Amino acid sequence: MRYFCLVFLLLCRAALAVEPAAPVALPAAALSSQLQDVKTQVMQLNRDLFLLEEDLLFPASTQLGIFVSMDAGVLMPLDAVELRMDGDKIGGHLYTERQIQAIQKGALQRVYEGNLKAGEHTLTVIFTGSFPQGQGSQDQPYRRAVEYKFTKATDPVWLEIKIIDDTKSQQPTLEVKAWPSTH
Amino acid sequence: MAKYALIFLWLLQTAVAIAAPPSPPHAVQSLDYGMALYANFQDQPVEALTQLMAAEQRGRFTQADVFPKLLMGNLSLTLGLTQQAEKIFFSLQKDTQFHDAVSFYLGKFYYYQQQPQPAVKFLNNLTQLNDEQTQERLYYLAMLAMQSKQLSLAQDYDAQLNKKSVWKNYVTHNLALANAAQQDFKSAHQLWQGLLKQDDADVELALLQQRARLAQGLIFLQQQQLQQAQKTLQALPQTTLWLAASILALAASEDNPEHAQQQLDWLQSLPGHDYEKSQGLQLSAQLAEQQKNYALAWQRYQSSLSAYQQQQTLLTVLQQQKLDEVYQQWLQQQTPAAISSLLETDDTLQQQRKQGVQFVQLQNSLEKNAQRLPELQWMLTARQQAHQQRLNNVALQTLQSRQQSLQTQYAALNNSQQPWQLASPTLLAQQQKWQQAQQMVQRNPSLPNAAVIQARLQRLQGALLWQLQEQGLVEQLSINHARREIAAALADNQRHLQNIQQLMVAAPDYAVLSQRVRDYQQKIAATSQQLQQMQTQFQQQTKARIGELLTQQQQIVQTHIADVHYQLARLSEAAL
Repeated sequence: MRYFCLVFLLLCRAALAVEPAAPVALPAAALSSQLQDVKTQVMQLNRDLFLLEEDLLFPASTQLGIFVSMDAGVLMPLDAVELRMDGDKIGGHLYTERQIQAIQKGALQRVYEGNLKAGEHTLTVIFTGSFPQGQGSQDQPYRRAVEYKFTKATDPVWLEIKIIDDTKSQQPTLEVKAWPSTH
Repeated sequence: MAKYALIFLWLLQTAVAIAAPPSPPHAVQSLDYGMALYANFQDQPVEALTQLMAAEQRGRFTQADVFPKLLMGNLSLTLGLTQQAEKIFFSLQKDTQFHDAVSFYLGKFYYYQQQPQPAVKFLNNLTQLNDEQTQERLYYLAMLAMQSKQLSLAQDYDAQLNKKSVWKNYVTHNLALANAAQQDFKSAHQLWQGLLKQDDADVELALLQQRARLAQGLIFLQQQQLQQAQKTLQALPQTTLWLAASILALAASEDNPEHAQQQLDWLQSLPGHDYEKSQGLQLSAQLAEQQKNYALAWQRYQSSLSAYQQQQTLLTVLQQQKLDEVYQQWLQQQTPAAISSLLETDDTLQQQRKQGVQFVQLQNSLEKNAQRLPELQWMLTARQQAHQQRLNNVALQTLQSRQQSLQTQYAALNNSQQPWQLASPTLLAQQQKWQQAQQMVQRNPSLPNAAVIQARLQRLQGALLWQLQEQGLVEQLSINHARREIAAALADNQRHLQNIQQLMVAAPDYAVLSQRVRDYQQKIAATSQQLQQMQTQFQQQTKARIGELLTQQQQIVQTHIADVHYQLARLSEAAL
């Protein structure tokens, strides 16, 4: 049948192949070159604004950054984190599966960025979650906290809260690492 | 067969990749790198690259920081900044410690630049890669082997891939297609069967399995294994692109009219696919005519004519009045159902959509940043005022002059510790007289009673010093007290001054920041304008392509209309 031929002409354009999440292919040479230039400009503008905001919103003299990292992180299934500075709640975060996976893969989550006056301070970080108890049983909720005293001077303060799986005790431990101001 | 070969060739040229970041060292070595990784793992390549570029600009990476640079290169490649990616990867080539990682990214770079020779050169013989990179490397090598028709080599790479790796699934599917293109349908089906056996809980795998089924169905169809084809195609979701065309082909290939009609009924039950459905009605009419049911054939030809005419009207309206709307809908992957198979299967448009989306993303990114600027400017002004207010409150000048005055007083007190500074005016006057007498004796040593005078002067000096000591004890106490008070005041004042100096040093240079905001506004405006011009140019090209396809489709539909008119006339004539 001639329809058969028509259909197969259409099928020649068929998109059977896997859809790539590949780098964007570039169009015709002239447009490609121009587009790369514009993309580069946009990225540079993004960078400049990023730096401007960093300078303006979080000057070094008052800057405080708090980060969360994991070493393995399988012993402590994470749901949420709460941050308290000198007893007052300053922030928190509810985790998605994807965010946890990112941290487990070695990424660092900036859970707080703000400003802090010079002087003595106490940071309290509280992690909450639940340990799976197997099918049919209710998960066992947990709450782990770490307290860290530090002095804020005129340099920025960057604190990394590390969730470490202690293989010997099979328990998660929490550590606070203060990064040098020139990280 | 040649047409199939074309499909397979085209399919094999379609690269698949997921931008995998380089795996970090066990402990994060840099906050910026760690945060960029986090953004990257959330599929936010722009944010990740911005973070890294900012850190680089601030000099927060050292020469030894290879991983952040590899990530930068990889992100640049993902965002289509190939020149930047190339520059980064080549700058790292000298680093022997990370030779394999750098070679891997250079191989990947050349793979996407469609330069197989250097790609293979860089990807071969790499042993120091992490698991993810190893899988990705095998994928590229397998794809390159398939492109050069070395299927057994590709098969070897496929065998080396981890069964749970997403890269393996892509290689398997593409290898099946390559085998089919070489007429080795047995191997192709075996490979697809392996892919289809897997649990499709993963969305990416499920989509890949749909493609595998469609490819299998088409091959069965081409081999006239109609039952197999129908069975395979029935497993596909109804919205799958090309399903309607496949069913139409299935029906057209069917010798049994009843089976053919069943398939055409199935076609009519699908959502969308208007053009194929019209063709289905026409084919149904032909089937009815073959079965000598002329009344039904007439009715179906009429239905098909009506459907074609509706399409023709729609195509005319879309082309003449709604091309802008169609363009926007197509860009947002919401192409009207009536023309979806027309636009969604055009290679040129597929590539252009990615560009179109990028234009929109870039424009949005600029707009988003531009919107933040007034807020930043306002914040900058507010902070500057608050800072000035604080400086005014502490009265810097007063503190400075007080400091100066205190220092003078303190110096005076220190001087006053010289013995004669503590003497009373009377004692001081006596001391001055003694000095005059002493000088006179020294100038006139020949005086007759010089020795006597000298002796008296010595005695007087003793008396003066005794009196001085008497007075000094009292004065010294009072001076010491004053000194302590002034020293305390000085220290206090000094602290205030230091605080103010710190405040001044720590505070950003507001004038410079304001200038940066203004510069930024100008740059955004200029870039936005440039982007707008390119976007307009791009839109014109794309709309022209859409218009061209609509015109072609109008011509095809017009041919169908003429054909159906002819069939109706023929039937009418036969009836007479």
